[in-house]
Amino acid sequence: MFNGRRWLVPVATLTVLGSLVAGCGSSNNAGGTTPQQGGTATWAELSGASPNWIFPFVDSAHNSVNSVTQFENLMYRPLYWFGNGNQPTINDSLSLAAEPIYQNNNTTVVMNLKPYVWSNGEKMTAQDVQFWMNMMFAEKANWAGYVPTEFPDNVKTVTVTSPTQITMTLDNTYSNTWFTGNELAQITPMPLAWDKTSDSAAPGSGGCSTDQNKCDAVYQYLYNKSKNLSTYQSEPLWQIVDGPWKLKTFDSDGNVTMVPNPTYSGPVKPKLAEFKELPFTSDTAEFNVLRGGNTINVGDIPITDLPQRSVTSSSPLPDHNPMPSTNYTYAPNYVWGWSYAPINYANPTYGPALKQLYFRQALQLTIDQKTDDQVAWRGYAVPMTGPIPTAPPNQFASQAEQGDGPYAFNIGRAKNLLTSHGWTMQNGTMTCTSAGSAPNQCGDGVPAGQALHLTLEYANGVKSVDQIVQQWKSDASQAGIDITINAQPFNTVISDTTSCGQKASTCGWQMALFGYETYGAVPTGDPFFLPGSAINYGSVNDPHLTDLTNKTLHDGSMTTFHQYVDYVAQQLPGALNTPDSYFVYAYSRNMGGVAPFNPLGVITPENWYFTK
Amino acid sequence: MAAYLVRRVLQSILVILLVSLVTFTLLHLLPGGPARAILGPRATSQQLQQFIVQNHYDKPLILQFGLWFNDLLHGNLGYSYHLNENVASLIADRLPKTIVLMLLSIVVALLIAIPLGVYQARKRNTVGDYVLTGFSFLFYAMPSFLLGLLLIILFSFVLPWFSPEAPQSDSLGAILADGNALVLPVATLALITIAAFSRYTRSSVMENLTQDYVRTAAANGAKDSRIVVKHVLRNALIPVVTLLGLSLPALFAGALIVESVFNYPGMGFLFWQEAIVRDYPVLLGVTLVVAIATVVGSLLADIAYAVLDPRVKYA
Amino acid sequence: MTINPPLPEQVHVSDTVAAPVDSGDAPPKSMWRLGLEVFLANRLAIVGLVVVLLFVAFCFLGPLLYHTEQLRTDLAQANQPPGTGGHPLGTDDVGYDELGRLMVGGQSSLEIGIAAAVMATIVGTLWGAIAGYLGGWVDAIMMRVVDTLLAIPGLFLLLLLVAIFTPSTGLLIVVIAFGAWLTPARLVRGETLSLRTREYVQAAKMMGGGNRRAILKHITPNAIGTIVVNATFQVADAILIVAALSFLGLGVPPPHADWGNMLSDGTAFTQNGYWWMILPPGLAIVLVVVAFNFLGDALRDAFEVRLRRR
Repeated sequence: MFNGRRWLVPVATLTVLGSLVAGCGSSNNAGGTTPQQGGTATWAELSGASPNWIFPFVDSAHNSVNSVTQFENLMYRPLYWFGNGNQPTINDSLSLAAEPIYQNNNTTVVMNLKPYVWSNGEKMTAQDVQFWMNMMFAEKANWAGYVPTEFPDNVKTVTVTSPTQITMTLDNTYSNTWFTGNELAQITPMPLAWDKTSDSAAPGSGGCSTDQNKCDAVYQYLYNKSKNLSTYQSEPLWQIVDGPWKLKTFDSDGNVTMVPNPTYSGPVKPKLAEFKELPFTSDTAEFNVLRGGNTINVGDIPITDLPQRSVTSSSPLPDHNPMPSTNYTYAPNYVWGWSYAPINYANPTYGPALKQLYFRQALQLTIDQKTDDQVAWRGYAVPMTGPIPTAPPNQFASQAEQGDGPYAFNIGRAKNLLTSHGWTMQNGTMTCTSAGSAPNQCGDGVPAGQALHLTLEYANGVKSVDQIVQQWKSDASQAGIDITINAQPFNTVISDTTSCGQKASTCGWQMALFGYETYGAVPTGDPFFLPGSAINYGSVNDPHLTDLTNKTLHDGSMTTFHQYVDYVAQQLPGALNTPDSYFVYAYSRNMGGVAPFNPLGVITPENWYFTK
Repeated sequence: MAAYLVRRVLQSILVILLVSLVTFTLLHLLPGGPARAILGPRATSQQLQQFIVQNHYDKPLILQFGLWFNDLLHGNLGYSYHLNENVASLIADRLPKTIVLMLLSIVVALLIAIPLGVYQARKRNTVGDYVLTGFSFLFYAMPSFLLGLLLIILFSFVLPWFSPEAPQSDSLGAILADGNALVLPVATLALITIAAFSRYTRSSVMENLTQDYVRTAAANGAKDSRIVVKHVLRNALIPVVTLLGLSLPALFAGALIVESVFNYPGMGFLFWQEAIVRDYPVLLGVTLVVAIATVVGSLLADIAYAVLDPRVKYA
Repeated sequence: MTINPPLPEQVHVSDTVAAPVDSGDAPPKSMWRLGLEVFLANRLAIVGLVVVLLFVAFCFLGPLLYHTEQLRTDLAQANQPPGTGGHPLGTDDVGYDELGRLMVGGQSSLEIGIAAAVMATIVGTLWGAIAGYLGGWVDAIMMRVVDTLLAIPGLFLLLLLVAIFTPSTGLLIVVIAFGAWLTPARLVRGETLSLRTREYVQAAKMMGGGNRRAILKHITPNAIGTIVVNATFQVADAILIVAALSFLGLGVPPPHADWGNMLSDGTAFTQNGYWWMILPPGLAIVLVVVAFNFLGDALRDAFEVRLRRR
């Protein structure tokens, strides 16, 4: 009916992508396994999320995740590709360069390009990478993924050391994993044929690929081209691709057809003759078509149409066929992100209370994630026990996050935490009867007599979230915490949550909930926890956390990373964890190469094929 | 009559202007503004400020309206960042689809409702009349999304006769040619309209049947059916014309829901989707177009009424 | 504002002045008595009245007899079919007893409907009466305002407002009434235009009664027929509008319940066959809306008789 979950696109996700390791079929495939050449595969777009931007240098106003992961990336390959099966790790075979070589104490990066060609005959060279980097330097204010002090601010120089080698010097020592996964991942080489400022000009005449100062005009030219939706299929510029697909037809409603790029230099050439994307006005409309079994080859099943998954099931998939058609097989599609509810330390009334660890722990203990997963998400979710998702199992999730995590649902424990810190139940609500900073008192800044009446502002439109939020209200009230739930349109919630400027008076929100924050390949916490960060909604400023977070950017060891994760899982800084759900996708029984899905959201139809 | 027309046209233009002004003011007075909605939560305050200045959201309201109006006079309805299209081309793309849906529904509704209404008027207060009245009211009382859903379940799933989604092509020709896919969406919109139109026809015909001229014709030996067809219908249909004009706003609303249920991206659906993301230029553009259509529709209805009914004189 | 095309009972052509009907003979029965007889003779009207009264009793008196937990949710008990755990109509998606929810939801739906209708009728009646009575440029301006607002489809206006403010019940009533007062305004203006030429109004003016007195004491009561009929339909329309808004994701959010959002939430589970979340609210909406329409229809017939006899 209404839009599905909303994805908030972070920096690195823009250019992160992934695929199967080439050659592996899916064990879910029930049909024959002889791959056939040809055929048209149709992908169902998520409702309200049609691609409408083609220029890879995306600005904030045009930053829609689907334009990147399901459209641009198929044609214009990022330098480094991420996603191996359902892991967000680097995929060497699909990357356009060998893994970066870090030298000089990780302050120099050397990248050796593979021999790729553009479809207009141009060879892909280091110049193409410099073209992108120059544009980054010149136009960073227009780059949707720009974070001040991070890419490209942390790059001092970019040099073309040979036609196939590019060298960068950095302003500091960085963690290899992080720099490759979240920073270098933002690079998409552009052909010199795009380096111009008018239609009749010669390729390279714009000068942006050699001189940063010439990039403004080139950017404007390409930006304006991209604003012209109706010319996407005819504009020769956009036909110059280095990825496996080229655009055949495109319309403003979201109908996309792509055909294989015969000059694609990558390891897996498309077997399909055509790849199509279809738009849908609502989940219901998409499901109505999906269940027919004929029109859609790969599509998502809305949560309310999935059968209840049993608690004892060992498979993440439905116990039985959710649709009357037997033409499909199913696979989970996980989200590489953090599902949480930000809480506002800067709120004038409850900020002081929210800054107290015991209080956040009490709040977390009143969220019954297991029941939420089982009922609100009908079994297709797992508890979120810290900042790193535990499904699919991955190397970033730390010990503290395993199992039920440190704060499994327990109302009794929540109550005890409150009563042992100076709160007393009065008329059904916990009231601070022992104000002060001693260990058994309410805490610094919490006024005596304060009663716990908090407001949770959340984005409307997703039924499961409505259920979770109502249940939380009900459970919290048993622990003496009175939560008023306030559903608002998504953009109102965003607007309210980000409006905590200098003035405390605009900081009215206390707790909010508006979906996931998706991660780049490496799930670091810099956007969330560094003071002043764009999405540090809660105004978190914890020196130890800042230190741990910064360490993960500069030190690549997993031990360091786990220290950060453990701390966040235990401290709940500026955030409470909410259930981590996943999609269930249906794909045609006679198709292979579709599953497992990349958790970063990118699709690689060059791996798909029909079987006999 | 000519003087009346000129007056009405001028008044209509005034009304359209007022509608734009009201919508404009409403949008811009509401808290939050479009910047954050378009740029997303990760945008920095400089980016927000740049956007606001670039799009004149920092100027006084009346100046903003003036700028918008000036653009309008040059054929520029603004640009939607969210959809990366000019509002004018968005509307040009979506409006015909909605009009096709509405027109088909109206035509189908009239073709069924008028005979139904006549039948009910002639056989009033019989069992047949009561049953048809009951059905009329039933369809009228059903929320349109429920009706759409039921039709899909019955005629797309249980009986796999029709497509559960409306025609998906871009060209009007192809849409009109895809009869199978048109059946359910048109039926959903039409059934509700039939209920209203048939009752209107029924009461209008009833009113006419008691008139003197009918009794005279009957006394003169004219056959029953001839009376109905030749005299009564002509007179009874006059108010239906007005009804058409007045139904336009409701039809747009109904079309919105049908478009959403049947995956038919028309103008109604466009309005809903963009209202959620605070895409001001689109909202203004669509409201303007709908206002124009409604005002023109009601003007045409009033003119038709005057032309058809010699008793009515507009000073 | 309606979400459906207007029924004939809801509309008069108001740009032409309706000729006042005068009767020559004194009526044998009183006008009210005659109207009542016509009303009661209409079988559908009786059905409508009975249905409405039954539902009012169900929604407002029901909870006194049938106690259910309507405050605390119980997710573990959600989506249970009828019969389990002592729930005759099963449970909804957060564990509330569906039958109890139907009552609570009905209270909301009826309250919103009636409040919006009353507000719209009062505002519209006064507006139309003043415009029609005073005439001239006052009338022109007032009716142009009405025309302007009529030119924006009600649902569009609502969408604009509720996309920015998530509505509370109060806001929803105001917003629905804001769109709905236009029709009574037009109708009453039309009536007023015809009524103000009547002798007794002229007489009252000559005797020194002011405009306000004329409007309140003479015009309004005589336009009452139109007003009441229209108000009946407003109630039905309001209930349908709330359902449509809920479907579009813009209704009053949880923990509020009304038939509209119960129905739209229930339809999400069609594939899983949770009919007990769909049928009861759907049936309730249809029955109540039909009942109000029958009532309005019959009232119109009754008042028409009155008029013809006058």
